[in-house]
Amino acid sequence: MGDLFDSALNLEEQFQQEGYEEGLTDGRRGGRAEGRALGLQKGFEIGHEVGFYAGCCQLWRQLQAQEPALFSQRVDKGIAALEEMVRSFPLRDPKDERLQDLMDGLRGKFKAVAAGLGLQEAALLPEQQGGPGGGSGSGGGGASALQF
Amino acid sequence: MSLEEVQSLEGHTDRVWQVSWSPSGDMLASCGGDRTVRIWARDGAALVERWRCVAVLEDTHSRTIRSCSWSPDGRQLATASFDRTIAIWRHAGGVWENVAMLEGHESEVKEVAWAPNGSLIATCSRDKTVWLWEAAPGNEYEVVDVKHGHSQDVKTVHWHPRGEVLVSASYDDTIKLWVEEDDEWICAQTLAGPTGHMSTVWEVAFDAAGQHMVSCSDDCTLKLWACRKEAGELRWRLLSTLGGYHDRTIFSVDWSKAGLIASGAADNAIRIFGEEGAAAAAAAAAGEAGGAPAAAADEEALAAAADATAAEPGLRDIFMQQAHSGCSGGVGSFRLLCKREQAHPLDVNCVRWHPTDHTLLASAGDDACIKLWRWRPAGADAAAAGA
Repeated sequence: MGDLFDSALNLEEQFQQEGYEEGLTDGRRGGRAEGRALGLQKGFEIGHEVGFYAGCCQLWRQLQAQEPALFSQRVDKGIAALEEMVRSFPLRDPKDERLQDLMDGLRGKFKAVAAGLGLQEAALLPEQQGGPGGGSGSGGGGASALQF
Repeated sequence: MSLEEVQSLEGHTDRVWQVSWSPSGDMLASCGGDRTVRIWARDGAALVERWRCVAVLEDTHSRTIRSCSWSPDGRQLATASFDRTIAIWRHAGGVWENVAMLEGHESEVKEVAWAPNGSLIATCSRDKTVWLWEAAPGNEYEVVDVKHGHSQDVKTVHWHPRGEVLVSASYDDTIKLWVEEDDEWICAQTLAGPTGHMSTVWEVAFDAAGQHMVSCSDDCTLKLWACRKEAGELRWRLLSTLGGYHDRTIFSVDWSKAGLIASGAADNAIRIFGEEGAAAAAAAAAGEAGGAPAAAADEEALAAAADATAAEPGLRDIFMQQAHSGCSGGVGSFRLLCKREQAHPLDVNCVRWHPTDHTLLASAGDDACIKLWRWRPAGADAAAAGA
């Protein structure tokens, strides 16, 4: 007689607990999927941008090897600084607090070198180009839109 | 006490954004939406103070010219435009020539500021960056650095009189201080948060000694800052906030060598502020009743700013003492001396004190006019009191 009524008394708590655990499991699964997708997206973006700068440096050095007097001292120093920043960029640690500041520094240095070489729009990442009116593609005026 | 209109300089065919006095004060440069720069000089033949247009610089920028800045030797002028470029002009014998174009910004350039050392130029843009350029032989300009940091449109760049610190202010409500360290420029301090402005900061200006800075904002306040260094690091602090005097955006602020602060606002008015001690005496002489809210140092803000150095209790006391003293390094309270309503029939975009004639003020407005004003302190002219 006691057993019958005991289980009836705990029913509400029992269902609440079950629901909670189901929610937790579903949330965990959904959150992990979302986090993974976000991580992939951001990781790609960062890797893509840093890789772009690395590629530019490589090309500039190759051109310089063919024509040693190609760059001014300031530009040469700028490319060297850019190379160092690319080399030391924390690509493996998404939780590094300095990430945004380092990316800002990288962008700034790249823009300074590009301007020193007389490159303007041609120096931007493809998705940033779009012409003064905005045109097609993301962002107006070609301003960098990568945010963390 | 009053601001008396001396002359209205007409010629621009669209809003005038900025005016800039040459270092010696013999010329005034103006620029605006009509894509021209006008150079004004004193008319030597006139018996009274009269300025006239002596040159028009045009057909160079393809969009609005937003800012102009003289080189310290007065021989060159830099102009910043919405067309993303900065033009460098040189003049000799009344003839002006465009000698260089600086390209690199990705959107509208908002201000250009020539450094006191004559070889560096700072620019800022809607692209959220601050650029530093250096003059090289043969009218060449090299990019020294490109600074990110602001999260929005950068409205102004301004050099400290000694040229060691570059100040930038932005639509992101903050003021940033930049210094050079090992050939790189870094952000040494950001003035933001509870003691900072609550909206876009439009301009900043320094007192003659370079010990204090005033900033103006869309939040309708002026803020006074002490430019201090502690242990070799920049530690600028809020001294006081002048609130309750403006009810529309304050677009421009300038600090005369004689210690007067002028502001230009979206309510078409120009206001003149002076320090409490001198002003109180002058007001008493003119028989004026003190009705305006006193601009006493903002105690809460002061305490908060002082507490920010909780790690160094001794400094906190020194800071509070200096802020209140009104002498020995601190600045006293400022009060409103004069409000010139309808100085222009539209927004006042820029106010600038003459570098040597300390009671001459120039203003630029959306009405396409530049006006020259004479500041008359109390006792000078009883008939022209107040607005």
